[in-house]
This record gives sequence, structure tokens and C-alpha cells, in this order.
Amino acid sequence: MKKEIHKIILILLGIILFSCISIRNETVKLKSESQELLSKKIEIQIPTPFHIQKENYEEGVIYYYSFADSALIMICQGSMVELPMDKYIVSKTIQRKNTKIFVGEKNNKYWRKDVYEGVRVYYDNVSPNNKKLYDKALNEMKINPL
Amino acid sequence: MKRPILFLLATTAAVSCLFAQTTQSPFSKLGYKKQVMYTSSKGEFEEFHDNTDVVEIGSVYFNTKTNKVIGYISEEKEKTEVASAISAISIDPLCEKYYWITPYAYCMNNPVKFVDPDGRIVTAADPNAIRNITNTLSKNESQYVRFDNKGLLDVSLLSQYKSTSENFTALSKLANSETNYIFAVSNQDINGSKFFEKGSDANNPNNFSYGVTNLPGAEYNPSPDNNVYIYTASFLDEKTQARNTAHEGYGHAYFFELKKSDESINPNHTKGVVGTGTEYDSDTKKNVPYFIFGNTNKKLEEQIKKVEQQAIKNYEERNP
Repeated sequence: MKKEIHKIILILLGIILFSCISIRNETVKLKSESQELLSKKIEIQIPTPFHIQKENYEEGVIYYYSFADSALIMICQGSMVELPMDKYIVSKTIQRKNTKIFVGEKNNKYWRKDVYEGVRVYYDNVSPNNKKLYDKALNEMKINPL
Repeated sequence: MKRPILFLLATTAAVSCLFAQTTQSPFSKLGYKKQVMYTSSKGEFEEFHDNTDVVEIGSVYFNTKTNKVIGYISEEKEKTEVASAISAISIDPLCEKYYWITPYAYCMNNPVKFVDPDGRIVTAADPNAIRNITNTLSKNESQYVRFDNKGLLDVSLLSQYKSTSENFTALSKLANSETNYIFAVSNQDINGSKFFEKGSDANNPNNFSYGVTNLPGAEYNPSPDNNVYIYTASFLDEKTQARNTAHEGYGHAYFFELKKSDESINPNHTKGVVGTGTEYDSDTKKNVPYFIFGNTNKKLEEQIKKVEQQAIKNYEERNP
């Protein structure tokens, strides 16, 4: 009888350990990403893994980040350019010190645009489950002069 | 014994009052004055009535309730406010508008050379802008492009020549518009945003910003008034300035003009998804699907490509 109880306890411990490892693997790892724009430097904590595309154009520079969950983060400094989110319907506008924030929803996914002294930072295609993660990234983002 | 004590107390009270008054408005030196209203006391006591708790004084945000500095106004905001303050003191609305927008007046504080008294025409704000416009055109076309000593383009002479080239067509369209189009060469645009030479940032040698078209009503970096300002970076060589003038003037500004009669025309570059891909991330051992972004305003990109090519060709023919 005692042996059987020990067996059950061991199996339960094994299940708990396995669950913990699985949960740990599911935890999103963040990476501190730093980019120099034209006159500003930006630091942002973003989920990994990601793919980065940079585009220089006549009036500025744009960084596009794609993530494994299909979400996007875009960082732009410059004029004469429109990104897809600029045309989306805004559901709410928030004015913070030096930053104007536009938020909305499209196809059950969230998008957001932060406009800060000539720098625009967007996220798009963010699922409700991961909204907090990307909001945190934009909320804690640092923008400093170069 | 009582007298000296009373005298001392009175002196201390007077000094304290004086000191309190001076500390009440620490930014009076910077030109900030609290709004004073005389109400029930009929002037016997000053009553301060600011509508907001936080006001901007000099380069700081100041809380009038707590008498504390709570933040600093950013450099860019200060610049913008300086510009708007300058515009606000204009005497002749049209004439003075030009007075302050020229880089010489606004940025370098030099005497004004070029003023547009009539409006509704193309203006070159400096000799370099005249040279750039001329360089974008063929030799035949440029014979019909003449600026007076104030930088105003002679529209009647321009109308005498018929050309089908994109550059001449665009310039003619701007010249016959009711909007003022002002070409300028400077190290920054009308809002004080500086241009950026390729290679000046060692970590990002490909970053650059060579010009801008400040459009009225634009969401980002708009014109401060109803004029269109076409800026080219002064650090560029003459050939690149000619190319950029074509890009900004005959691309963005021309499309802004066309948009007036066709809402489907967009004067801005637009970016969107033009493809997809997958990348393997060795750290996480995961495939990362990604979107490829590119230009989606095909009409504008085609126009810009044509006008830039023409500008380079014309410049090279003019300067073999």
C-alpha cells in the first residue's frame, strides 16, 4: 500500500514538473532592441524571435519588425509617407505628455500608433491574447535624441 | 525694550512679504505674467486667475498651484513655437509670410531678398533654388523659365512654350495653381526639421533625409500655412539637388496639386505588404513568418522615377 502511494506521488510530481517545463517554454522571451533613426535613438523591448526589414527613403527611415504570432511593429522617422495604420479607423485617442496615441481594432486584431516628436511607432495585427505584451513594449519604449 | 522688539518684528515681516512676492513669480524675467483680475476687492488685492494649473514658461512646464517646475519643453516644440510666434506678428499677411519662410530670414537672419507680393505663383526662395529648377529642365525649356529679382517665376513666359516632358508639365501646373509653391534650399525644412547626409551616422551609414515637401493639412510635418514648401538639402551636390527638386516638386507637390481635382491621387509614399517570407531563427529554433513591405502608391513612384531621370539627364547635358 505504501509503495503504491509513493508511486502515485512520484507520477504526480512528474506531471507537475512536465507542466512547469512546458509553461516555461511558452513564456515569451524579450529582447532589448535599439535603433538609431535620423535624429532620435529608440530602445524597445520586443518579443523574440523576430524578422527585421529596414527601409531608407528620400525623406526618412522605416523599420518593420515581424513576429512569430504575425504581429508587426513599425518605427518611422520622416515625412511624406503613409503606413497602412494611418488609414485605419481610430477608436480612441490618448494624449500623454509629448506623445499622442491612436488605438483601434481591425479584423479582431488590435493596432496602435504612438506619435512622438516626429517619430511614429506602430503595432498592428496583435491578437487579444498578446495585446498586453505589445502595449508594454510601446509604453516602456525610450526615445532619446542622437 | 518692547520698541526694538516690535521694530525687529515689523522689519522681518516686511522683508518676508517682499521675498514672498518675488518668489511668487520666479519666471517674470522670462516674460511670463500671471493673469490678474480685480474683482470684489476693487483693486485692493490682486487676484490671480490662470485657467490651467500647468503653464509653459520659457523652456519649462510650471505648476502655478504648487509653484514647482514639473517638466521641460522639448527642443523641437520650442522651435515650432518660435516659428508660429514669428508668423503671428506679420503685418501684410501674404508678403510677410514669405518674409519669414525664406531660410535666410528664418534660419540665418539675413536680409530678405525674395518676396512674393502677388501670391498664387511659383517662388524660388534663393538663387540655389532657381539653379535647381533650371537644372531639372532641358536647355530649350529653361529658355522660358525666368525669375525676377524677387524670385518670382514669370508665368506668361512659361506659358509660351509647349513641352510634353514631365518636368516642364509639372512646373507649369504648379505655376498656374492658386496655391503658392515655394522652392528653397536649406539644411532644414520650414518646421526646423534638419536634413541628414548619408554617412553622417557611422552606425547607420545608409540613413539619410534629402528634402521634404511641407504640404498644408498633412498629418506629419505639415506646412504651417496654406503654402506648399519644397525644400532640398543644401549639403547635396548640384546634381543630387536637381534630382531631389524634381522628386519633391514634380512628384509630391505636383501630386498635391493634382489631388485637388482627383481625390484618388495621393501625394505621399504609401507602404504596404507586397510579399511574405519565412526566416529560421537559430536561437529559438523557430521559423518566423514575415511580411515584406514596399511601395504601394505606384502612380507616385512612377512619376518620381520619370522626373528624377529627366532631371539627371538634363543636368548632365547642361554640365557635361
